[in-house]
Amino acid sequence: MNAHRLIRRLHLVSGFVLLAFVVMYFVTGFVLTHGGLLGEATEQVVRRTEPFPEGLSKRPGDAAFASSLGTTLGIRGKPSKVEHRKDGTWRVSYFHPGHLTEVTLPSDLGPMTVEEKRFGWQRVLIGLHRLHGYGGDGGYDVWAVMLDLASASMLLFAITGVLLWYRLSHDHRPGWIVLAAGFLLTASTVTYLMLRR
Amino acid sequence: MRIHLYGGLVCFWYLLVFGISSLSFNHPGWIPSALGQASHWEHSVALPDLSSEDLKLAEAIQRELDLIGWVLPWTLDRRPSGDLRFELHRPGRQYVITTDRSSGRVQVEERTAGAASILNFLHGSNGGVPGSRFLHLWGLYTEITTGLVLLLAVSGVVLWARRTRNRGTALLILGVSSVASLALMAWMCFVG
Repeated sequence: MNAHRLIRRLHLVSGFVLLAFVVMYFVTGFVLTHGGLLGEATEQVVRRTEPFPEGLSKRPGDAAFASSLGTTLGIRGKPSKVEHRKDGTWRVSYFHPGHLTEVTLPSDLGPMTVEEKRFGWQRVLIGLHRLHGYGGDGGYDVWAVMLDLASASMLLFAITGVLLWYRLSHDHRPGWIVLAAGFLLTASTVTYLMLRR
Repeated sequence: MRIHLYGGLVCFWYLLVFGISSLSFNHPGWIPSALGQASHWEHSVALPDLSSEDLKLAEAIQRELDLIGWVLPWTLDRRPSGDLRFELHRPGRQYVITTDRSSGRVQVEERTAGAASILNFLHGSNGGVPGSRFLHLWGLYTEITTGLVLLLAVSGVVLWARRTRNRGTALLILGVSSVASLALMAWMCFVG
């Protein structure tokens, strides 16, 4: 296979494998930056109190504590790290698109406060956009792998796209002008942010 | 074909930024995000008499100092002396600003905020940064590329469908990967 065919195939296959994911990021990105245009986001909050589960580790600082607590209480979502707050209480949150549940444990590990927030469709989409990082159970690590692949595919699209343009165009001047303009904008924005007081 | 090629060139730099910033979100620590060492400086300013409007006073001081960024309302702290302390953040830098009415000066503690904060801004900003007209250009570029990428996704599939002789394998890849991706998104939303 010659170089041109290889570049075309890389451009095509990486595009096809991740098309749905890449489109999702750009659609949800639009919702994220133009939330106001799409109506008011809704939010429902439900609070309840639960006794500290029997049999659960009494050390909230343990790595597996958040996951075990979530499973025991039947809370869905990716657990955060357990936060030890200044007032002595512990807090852990569980997130999945459209839902955020926060559990606050008193310092004596007595009855816990569980606050569940349910958001409307805009926040569901924004949640999809913001979901990232390894370390969750089940599908969350699969999601993180897909995000890595989609991110890498962006770089691959961009680079193979330029290579394809260079090979397919006879007159390169308009393309160089477009690339140079983009570079100037990017470099001047970064320089401005780095150097401006 | 020309639209696809030149549209791709327009998006090139944004796609690089988007790809690198998305990787950095997934792998915290890859891009430096720690605050730099504090530097201190002072400036004489004519403090307006806004005794009850802390936010307006903070924004007036920001303009006097010619700083760009967002005043963080929850950091506004009015001292018994009538002086005001607040934080101002922008991509790449953070400031803690304290007024001193007795001397007519403002003290500023300034720190760099790491490359990650600049990358976060470049990743997705449509509103610019208060105090800077120039940064609206990046917002405009982000808007244009967002639309273009969606157009390029469609035109890429159309171009491929017109030119290929063997559609079976590619259609299979596209179908399986799209169904799997949508199933994963649905799982996240409804099962999680």
